[in-house]
Amino acid sequence: MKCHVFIATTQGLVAVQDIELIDDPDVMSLVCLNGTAQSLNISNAYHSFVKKGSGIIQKDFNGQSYRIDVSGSIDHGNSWQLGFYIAHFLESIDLLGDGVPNENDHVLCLTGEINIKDKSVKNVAHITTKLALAQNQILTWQNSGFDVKFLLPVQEKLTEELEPYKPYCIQVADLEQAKLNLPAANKEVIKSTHLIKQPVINLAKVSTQNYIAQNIKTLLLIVFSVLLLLFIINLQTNLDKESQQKVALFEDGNHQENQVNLANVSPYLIAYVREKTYLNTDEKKCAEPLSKNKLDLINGRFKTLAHAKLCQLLFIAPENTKQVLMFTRYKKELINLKPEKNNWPITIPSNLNNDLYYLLLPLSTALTDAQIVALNYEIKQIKGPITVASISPILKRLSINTRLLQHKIMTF
Amino acid sequence: MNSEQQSCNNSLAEQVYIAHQHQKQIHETQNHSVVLFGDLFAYLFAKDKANTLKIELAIKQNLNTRKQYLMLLEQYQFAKSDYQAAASSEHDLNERFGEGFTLKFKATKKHVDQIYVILMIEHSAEHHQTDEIILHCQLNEQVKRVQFPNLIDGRSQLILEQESPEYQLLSNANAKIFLL
Repeated sequence: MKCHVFIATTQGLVAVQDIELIDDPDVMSLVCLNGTAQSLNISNAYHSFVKKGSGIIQKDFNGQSYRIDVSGSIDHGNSWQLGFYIAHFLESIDLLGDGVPNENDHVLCLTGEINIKDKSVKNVAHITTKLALAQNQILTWQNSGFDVKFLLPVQEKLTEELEPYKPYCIQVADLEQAKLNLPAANKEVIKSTHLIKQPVINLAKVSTQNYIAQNIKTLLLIVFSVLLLLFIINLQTNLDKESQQKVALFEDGNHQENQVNLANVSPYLIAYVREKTYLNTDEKKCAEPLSKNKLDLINGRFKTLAHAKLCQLLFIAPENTKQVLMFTRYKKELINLKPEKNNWPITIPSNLNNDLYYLLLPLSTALTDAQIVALNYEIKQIKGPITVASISPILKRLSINTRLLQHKIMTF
Repeated sequence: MNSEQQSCNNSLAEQVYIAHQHQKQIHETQNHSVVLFGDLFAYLFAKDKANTLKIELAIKQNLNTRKQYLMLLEQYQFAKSDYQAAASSEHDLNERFGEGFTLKFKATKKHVDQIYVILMIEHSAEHHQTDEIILHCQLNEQVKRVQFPNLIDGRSQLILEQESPEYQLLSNANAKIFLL
């Protein structure tokens, strides 16, 4: 299940296709058209929106800089801010779609500017034009069975004009309210969103007479939501503590029984590295005492390792993993990793002339030999190196929806 | 009229027709390639984007136009990046240093054929903060104008296709770059 984000513009809906973490202090955040080298006019404004101090993306989601690809032009204004923020939020929980809804997917259309100080959603111009232009597409999606929502800033004057769009319009006063209307990332959040059956502000109820009463209801709803969120965070923290304890047990090396349950946690790497790096490539480099490092997954990537220090590398996959495939970026090799107990050892080449980039694909259903042969043939046909972008369409075609994990082993 | 005279007349008519066509073509070519000083000036400051290709072609083909163009560049340049002597011509540059500005080239992760070009100006002028920043690249008879967005935090950024003539010239160690 994915959630597709569309920015409502005065020229129609524009899909957010992809968010790429650049994470290079030299490169500024930018917005590109359709994956091409055409950057949009709002790129500088988006850069400011990302940067800590002038914006909120870096503050809320980390990362130095980002590239967003969109399906159409967004020339000016700031009404893209709400949509881009929500797209970043969905990307951070791995729910962002590519703008082409499939079965069971959700569609979100958004317009609104964000006050970065208090995270309130500010009103923008041309709301009715944007709604009118989006209407046909939204009806088509609804007829196809998609869940469609249109999030917009709170409107006090346009009550009558917004009447035709009432079934899918939701007015939000701030980012927390906007997040409450998103599809959930896990069961706890699903529970919380199901409890909130009514939109934050139902258009039908907005009028001068019941405005105060409506606000009281909204406040109560916000308080309730905050309490629920705190409960979820508390629950999550406890779960994290439990998983950390399990990892600690695993690192002791004497608790074989605990290793069976260990794969419940999200995927990570265990690297055995030596303390010092020598310039010569001595063959006995791993004979000395080694330290054990756990590399967590951050934005789909594991931390880069130095080849000279690395002695052993293990991939710890999620619980239900039946097979792990590894793809090397430049040589385009497909390696079917062999499991050992509850981990998947990654063979490290003894000599490495260039940095080794590779992708890991943990699968809950093992591919057949014929499927692996077909996949191997297809990746050999890719022009240029294997990247997440180049391999994703192939995996999609083969109905493999698992997330690819990236890692790099660096040479000096 | 015998057959010999008739053949002679046909041949003459053919020659006249061919000469007429050639003359017509010469006039057409001259009309297309006429670049006035004002056109060159407008091209330099990106005021007339419609005629860019025509003027670049004229600069490439016409020595006088090229001389005028280079003269204008020398006169109106804010800073210049000369040949990058230390760089190898076999590989693209990762960075090039000019007098008062630097260009960095960074490959994109997902889109392997696209390059981020980052322009940093040490002591920028006011127009670099408010208007598009114009760079001219010149290598022998080849010229290209590249426009960057205005500076933010002392830098500006473009994304270019690796195969684009603009990137090929910007990253060529033997090309000269003029910052206006």
